[in-house]
Amino acid sequence: MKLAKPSLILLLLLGSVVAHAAPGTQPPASQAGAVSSDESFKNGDTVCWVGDSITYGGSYHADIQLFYVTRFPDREITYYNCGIGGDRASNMMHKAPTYRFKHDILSHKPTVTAIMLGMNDVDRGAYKPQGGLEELKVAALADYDKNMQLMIQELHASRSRVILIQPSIYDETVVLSPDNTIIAPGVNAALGICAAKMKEWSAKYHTGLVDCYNRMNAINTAEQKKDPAFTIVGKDRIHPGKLGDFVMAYSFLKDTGMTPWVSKMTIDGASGSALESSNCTISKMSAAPGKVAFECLEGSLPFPTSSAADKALDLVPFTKDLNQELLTVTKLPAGKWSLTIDGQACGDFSSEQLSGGVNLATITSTPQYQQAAAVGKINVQRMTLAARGERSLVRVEYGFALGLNDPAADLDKVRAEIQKKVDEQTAKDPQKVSGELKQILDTAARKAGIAKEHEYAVAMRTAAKPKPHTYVLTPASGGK
Amino acid sequence: MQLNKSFFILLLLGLVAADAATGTQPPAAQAGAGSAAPPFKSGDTVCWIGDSITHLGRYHADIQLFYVTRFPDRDITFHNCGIGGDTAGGIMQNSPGYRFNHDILAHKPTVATIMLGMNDVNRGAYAKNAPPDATNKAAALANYEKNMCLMIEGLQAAGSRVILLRPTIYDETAVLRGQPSPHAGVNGALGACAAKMIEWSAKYHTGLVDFYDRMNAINAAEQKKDPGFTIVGEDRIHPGPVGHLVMAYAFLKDTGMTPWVSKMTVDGKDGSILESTNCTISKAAASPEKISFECLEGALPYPIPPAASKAIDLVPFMQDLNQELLTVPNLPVGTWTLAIDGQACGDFSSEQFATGVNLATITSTPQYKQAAAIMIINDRRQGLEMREIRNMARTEYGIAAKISPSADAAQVLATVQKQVDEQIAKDPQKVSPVLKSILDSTARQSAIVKEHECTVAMRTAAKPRPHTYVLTPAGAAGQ
Repeated sequence: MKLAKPSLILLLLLGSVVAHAAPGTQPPASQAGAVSSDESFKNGDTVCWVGDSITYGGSYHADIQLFYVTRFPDREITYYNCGIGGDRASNMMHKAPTYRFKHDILSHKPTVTAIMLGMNDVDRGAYKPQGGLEELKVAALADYDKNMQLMIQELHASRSRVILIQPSIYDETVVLSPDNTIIAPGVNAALGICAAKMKEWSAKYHTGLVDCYNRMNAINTAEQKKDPAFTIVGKDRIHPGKLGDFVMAYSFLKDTGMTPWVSKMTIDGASGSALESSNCTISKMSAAPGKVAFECLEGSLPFPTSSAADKALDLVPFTKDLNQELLTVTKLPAGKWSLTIDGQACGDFSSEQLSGGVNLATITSTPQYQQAAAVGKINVQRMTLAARGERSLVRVEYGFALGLNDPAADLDKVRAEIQKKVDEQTAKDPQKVSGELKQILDTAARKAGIAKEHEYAVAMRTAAKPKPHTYVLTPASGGK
Repeated sequence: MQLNKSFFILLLLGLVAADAATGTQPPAAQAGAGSAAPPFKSGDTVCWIGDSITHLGRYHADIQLFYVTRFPDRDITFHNCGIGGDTAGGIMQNSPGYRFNHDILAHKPTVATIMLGMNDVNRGAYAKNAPPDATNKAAALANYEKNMCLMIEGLQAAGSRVILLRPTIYDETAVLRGQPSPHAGVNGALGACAAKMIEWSAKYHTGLVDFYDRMNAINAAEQKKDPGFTIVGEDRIHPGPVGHLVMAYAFLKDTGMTPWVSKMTVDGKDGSILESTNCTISKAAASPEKISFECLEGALPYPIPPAASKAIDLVPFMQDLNQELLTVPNLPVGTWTLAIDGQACGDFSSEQFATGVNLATITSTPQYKQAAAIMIINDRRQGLEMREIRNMARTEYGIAAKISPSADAAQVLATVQKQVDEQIAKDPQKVSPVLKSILDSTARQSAIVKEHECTVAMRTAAKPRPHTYVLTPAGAAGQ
């Protein structure tokens, strides 16, 4: 009886998820009739990315940050990576809330907090093929439920809005060689329960909702039909690489209400007049039979997709949904036309293509694309610094905080504990003191590291300021 | 008798003229201005009529949040009736069938607020390269006057009270780099609109709220310190979160709101309850080392949105509208720690407690946290309303005005259906998504339902809870 009850609950829960996941290919947020939500970051926002190792090391939020700085160069938004490897909601809210929730998250005074948790919360150990751990599974999900809701409530009470990210998947279907052992069968369905819970909470607490879970499952199913060794995450079945991270970034931007438009420039090729200028200012137009020219200052840069994994653009309609920089020139004499921007050749297009609209964001040789790519390079430096620096030290501190077994343990108490450890090591052998622990206590160096990351963020904004460009169309074969 | 009344009006006008001359003193803020409209009551339906500043909807979202935290029991329905670019002439003359009848009166408002002027003045006539011809400007103001009076009369005939909001300013004085130079004279024209509203409020016995003088005064004072300061936005027109909270302050103040969330006064020596305004105090006990009591308040403190926090330096919001006063006289001299439900809320001296501590300034109290969570829901509600509901109204309004002044919602839908059919016939891939969304009654209904859910959730979440207050000497270990 004792065993039967939780199993039954779990079965029921799993059943509901499978039913939910079955249509699978249609992410709920993109269904017709759904009210789109604008959860976008505004000028002045402070954003905390709360999560586990996928947030700690992952680049999904770096991709999102790059998107924002290229799309909205004027918005001053501050971001904090608040991911810690192995983390779960109960550790954060129950075991070490003073250090982790209050110090590591709330002290940033977030106005927006994005939460992706579940991968560790489900207790993968309980899913070993031997089985018999049904009660542990149920208890883990109950813990997740309780502590996630507490986290949402506390964030709202601290004036932060919340965006729930339905977690990335555990890939049980990829065929790996030489060893295809699935360590924890059933984990992906448990993550489905987490994802379903998030949907419930988003309605109950009026939070934003981003769907990575259903999208990634659908992509996996479709791609594995063609190639059984494909995985949208990694060989450990857990951690997405650049490809999965990009799909997550796409999901986030799409589900938080981002529009496709970098800019729209429409010119009448016969008269040279500007017919439409969305998010740009067109000037100095001129049209002669052999030449159409104008100047344009856009409000955004295209997103430099060359920084994404090769296959990413085939898996999600990123360009169509989020990266349209549309140049339309109507009424051109029929034939092929060469486009140059600031004298740089950017391709040949037929008059039909130009009157239907050419998406400049797909052309890597435009000066604005090159500019965006340079911003992307700074972003990679920023991300590398963040992951290797401050966050790796926070992870160790958090380990000490959890070890203290005192929910009230604050930063001072955690650092005192680390100091104690260093003192012990020094007493034993001053040569063998842990370098990492010494680094943790060197608060001046840490501050400098954080300031450095901030400098990169500022440099990205500076480098992303759009510049005016001169566009010239001439017949492709003819001379000037 | 007749003479007395005229004399009184003359006196009023005289006062107003004297006021307008000095300019820096907002008339409505003066004692005896007598323009206070009664605040919204349970059962009221409020329509916020206006242009893009109302369409964006921040100031009335702030006011709605104030009402739900101050009066959690009141069941009030609010409707955003702002449309970007709108004018009084647009509402009453170009499209009364759709805009006035369908978009406003159909809500059966018991109270309607009107803020218009920014587009009515015809800013284009004030552009540098505009012909130096005063007739355009005068015609615009005459049109404003005629249609505003029509609107007030129309609303009152439909049984609605009216509150006139003297419009926000056009900032001609901020030194803004990289921004187009201002159209000189627009703010003066808005001043004429604002002056008219004083007249009409007397003539029609409406409520009156002053944004215009207050925002001019704040701008003048702040720009002395920082010429780049503006109480509105870089476009010189649209206020940001700070400007909107200043507007909410002006509205609440001028419509007679009191400062009091609650007043709790407990004697620090014997634990007796000396005052309990808008709250019920129980289980009060005092010993030399500990004062404790339980309190259930009738309201929540107002949570200041982080993005608008500068506003409380510009207007006395906390002093005038957000006082949750805990007073504990006769405490032994020293510093005391206040805990509410076991949560530390700060240390205060016995002198501070004797004169009163304003709990509404403390973000860590359980009641403040409760209020902050409502603010989050309100933000979502406001965004949903602005995008999903009002943007659609704007499109429909544009279509209605093109059909005929009397065109109603049904005619608009029929026209949209025809346009969509034509587009489908040409190329099914190129049907305007905006027009399709207008015909999608399910999506529209779901947006309205979603907003309503937020409103209900706000009221549910605003129900005050009893809290336990404990004062102990600061630094004392344990309890």
